[in-house]
Amino acid sequence: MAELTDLLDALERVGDQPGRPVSAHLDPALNEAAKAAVALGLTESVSALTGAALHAELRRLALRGVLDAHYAQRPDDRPHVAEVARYLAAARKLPVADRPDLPKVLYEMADVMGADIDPETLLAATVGHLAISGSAA
Amino acid sequence: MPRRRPTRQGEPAHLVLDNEALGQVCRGQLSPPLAAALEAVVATAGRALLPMSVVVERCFDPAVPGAAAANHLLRIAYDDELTRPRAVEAGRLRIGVRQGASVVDAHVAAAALALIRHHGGTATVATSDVGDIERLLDASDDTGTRAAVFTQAL
Repeated sequence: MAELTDLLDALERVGDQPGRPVSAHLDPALNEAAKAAVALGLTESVSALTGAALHAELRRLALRGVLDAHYAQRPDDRPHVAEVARYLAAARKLPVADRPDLPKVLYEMADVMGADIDPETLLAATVGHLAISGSAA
Repeated sequence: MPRRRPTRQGEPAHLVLDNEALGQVCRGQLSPPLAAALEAVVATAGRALLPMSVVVERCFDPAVPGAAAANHLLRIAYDDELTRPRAVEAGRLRIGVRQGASVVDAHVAAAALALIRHHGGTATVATSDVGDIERLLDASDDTGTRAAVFTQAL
């Protein structure tokens, strides 16, 4: 929990100080791609792009940490990956969201693909499966 | 008005929490719809947003179980973009609803619309008052953005 507090503390201070050089090992191709994006005028600088991407990912990870801390107290609150995928289908108003067999197929696909499958991949695989199979399972 | 806007895989699924949603966090209890919505934010690198007017309506008493979790969420989900144009838009939405609407709900709806404008993707409002939020969203002139905002009953 102390580490989560450290993460949240640091995130709250983002933008308080001017940037300074830090060393980081990057895939050279990533650096080249970033420079190309700058040349295209798609982003201000490699530093700005790196900072923005890092900030967004750290914010995502912080929410992951907050949720995991909650689940440590209340494990039953953690949703099944099939429920998250079902939520995404509804939130995006995908046509499959209206199918009555969607929950059942999502759970079956999750069983096949394993508990570590992420909801985006599960949903994409299920949409593909339903498109191929056609009729309700 | 287009009410259905199919979106692509990988687009961020943002979430705006209303008073009841924040109340669940404060009580240390996440309903299945809210837990799924928060997990979807993580899965799609979306944004979770707590409008300031929702925050000020809630009391963060450290003695209340769940206050720590609520404060953690507040620190990463607080709305740091409450600008004058946003306040004006909330006011316009409120005026556009015949029966009137709460100021807090109007800010929740305006925050959801702003999320789409700034970050793309779709936004869902997790709320106990689906009808009220839908009416406020329907009062927006920005039909393109409105079509990407949905509601989730808690």
